[in-house]
Amino acid sequence: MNHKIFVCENSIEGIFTGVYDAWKAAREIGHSHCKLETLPPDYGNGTMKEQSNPLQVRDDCRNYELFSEYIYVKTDQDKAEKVTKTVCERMGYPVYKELSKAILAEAPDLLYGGRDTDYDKGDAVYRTIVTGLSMKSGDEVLTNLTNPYVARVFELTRRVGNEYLHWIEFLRFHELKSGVMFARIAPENNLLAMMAPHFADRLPLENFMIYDERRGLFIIHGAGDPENPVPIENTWAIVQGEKPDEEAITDYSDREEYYQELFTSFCKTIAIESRVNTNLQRQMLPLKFRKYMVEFEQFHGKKSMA
Amino acid sequence: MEYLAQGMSVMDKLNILTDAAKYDVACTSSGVDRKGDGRGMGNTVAGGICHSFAADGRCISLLKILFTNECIYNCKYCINRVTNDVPRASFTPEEICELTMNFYKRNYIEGLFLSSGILKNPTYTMELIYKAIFMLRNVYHFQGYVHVKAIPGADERIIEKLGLIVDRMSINLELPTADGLKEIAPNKTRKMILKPMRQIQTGIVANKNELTLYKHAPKFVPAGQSTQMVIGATPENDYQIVSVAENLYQKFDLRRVFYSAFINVNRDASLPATLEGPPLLREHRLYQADFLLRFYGFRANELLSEDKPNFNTLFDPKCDWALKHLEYFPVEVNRADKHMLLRVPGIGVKSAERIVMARRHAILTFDDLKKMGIVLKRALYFITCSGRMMYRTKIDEDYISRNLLDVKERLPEGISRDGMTYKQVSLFDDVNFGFQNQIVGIG
Repeated sequence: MNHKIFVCENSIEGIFTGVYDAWKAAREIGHSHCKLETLPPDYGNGTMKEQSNPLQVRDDCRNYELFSEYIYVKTDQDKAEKVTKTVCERMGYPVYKELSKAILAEAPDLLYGGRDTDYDKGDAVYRTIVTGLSMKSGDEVLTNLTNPYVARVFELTRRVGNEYLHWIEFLRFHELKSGVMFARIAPENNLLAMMAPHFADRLPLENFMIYDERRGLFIIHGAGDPENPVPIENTWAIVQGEKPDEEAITDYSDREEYYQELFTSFCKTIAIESRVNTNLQRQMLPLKFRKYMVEFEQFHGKKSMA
Repeated sequence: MEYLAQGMSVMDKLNILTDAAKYDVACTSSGVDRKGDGRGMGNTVAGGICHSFAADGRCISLLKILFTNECIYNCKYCINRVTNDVPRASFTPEEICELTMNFYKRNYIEGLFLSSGILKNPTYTMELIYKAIFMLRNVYHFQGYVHVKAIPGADERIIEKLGLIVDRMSINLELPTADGLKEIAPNKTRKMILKPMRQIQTGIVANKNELTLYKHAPKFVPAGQSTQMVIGATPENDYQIVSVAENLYQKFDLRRVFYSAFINVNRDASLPATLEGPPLLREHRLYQADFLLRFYGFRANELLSEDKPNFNTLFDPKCDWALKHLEYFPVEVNRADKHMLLRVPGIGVKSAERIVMARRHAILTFDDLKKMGIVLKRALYFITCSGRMMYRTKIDEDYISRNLLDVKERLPEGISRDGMTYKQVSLFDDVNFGFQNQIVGIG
């Protein structure tokens, strides 16, 4: 029998809709004849030329399998919601969280115009859900690391988790004239939604923005009232498709450069001369982050090593 | 002091007081998870967060500064000792608060690490620290990580008060043995150091009991206490040092013991010269052993003994142990308990956890292990999957040693055995100050 390949959009809702459709089809043809594929991350976020036929977009990146039917899955909130509900009820919220994390993964090569090697992430999530629902205790599904799809989900979440940790460490806010704290990042994976709660919790009284310059996405967080705190979920939003005004984001407040200098000086002084080891420093803090970090020369447009 | 502080900019003070604090090793922000309450700034993450790395490769997590580098003590190893002619400075509490808040807001740091030279007397100094931290917590509403040094000899009441507004407190053991301490830090005694350590320990226990009764009781030193000692300034061997650390973990419930390779900053004639750089490999071995004590269920006397008091320079302590105890190997991955898995060279805590998790679902093969991200290049000599070794290997000390040397241990960047800092008299003896000084003298 022919395979049915469900081509879904690159988002948690997109892939969960795909899972719903594939599941439905599998009732007739079986899970082994269904497969999920993910469109390139750029599709639908405005940076790619709009194309009427999403399968055409897929065409440009990948080969077709013989004897398979390709079906475009339009993202549907209701369907995604139903899958979310099932996953949470039968496998627990922690599993749902890990699956969503895996979906945020994006192939590192994409950054440099390479191939999208993570188009199978939807399939890995789909099959992990199938495995989980067939188990007596679905909440243990992610421990089944010998299952190749679970292993794939594990690999993706680990990659996303590691990069997330790096960016919450190395991100730097700059205070603008307007009082807004502004930061820019360029992560390989789509981390903004994960980062927002972290910073909303620690800076509840600040207006801040984090700009993902690779995806053209923003987090915008509004300052709360110390007398009357609200749950952090309600303090931030993700905005798409806007470009920041280059001038406005380098228009620092009066004290900004003063603190940048103080911190740069602090970082220089804290190092012990007789232990200097720039190789170790580079291992711990790769060069690619440094142009976003005020304490390094790369931030100020210089090429030389800090 | 007064006239010096005047006219000194915050930048000058920051430089002086950072420079004076940099030899302190404890710069972790770990041990406590606390969400913000929406009324101030900051939270803490149990795993700790490093925000930058300095040129020496050490992480920058906290704003690590001294309150003042004025000091009435004269410890031989310390750059701030009273007889040194170095520029002196002191912060005001406001300056510390402003720096902390503004650095934190920009995501430069996880919090504040505040230590101090001794001004007038220990209690007076602690009062000053308390004042600064109190202001930071209650006027500036800072809810991030705060680590302070408790000063031996300070009044018990001030330690009690301070413990309720900080996350971690530490008291430096300074040197591994009481004799070493007497020699090098004439103003401190071992008893003076252990007393507040005990006080903090009992404080934490009492607080835990209180918290079970009253959920919202203030927390006393929630991230626990740590300590540090200088390695290589006095002639203790590794066995003594590791035993001291074990004792501290067992008897004082310390969270961490830090080891700091000795650097003779004062060129003090009575201390060993460190012209070839600090003993970094030795420090590295001690940290490895420290992790074995805390997470791998090893005891100090399994790793070293009176007859073999120092670590092997060629193999890490766990490998060294395994080679001497081949009777326990090979270990069957599908059946061995976690405790035994942890003793296999190359299998760490995460790998062992993954193995235990995954083997509930299926019998594991070497291929599965690889896919799970377990590195086999060293482990393969010590494990079987379903009764088979990965390759035809012998359980023989010489054979495995030779092969493991080919694999090469991955030491941190910049630490090598050849350019080694310390000296290499014999392969298995790494401590011999007299000899080292001679070499330094000649070359």
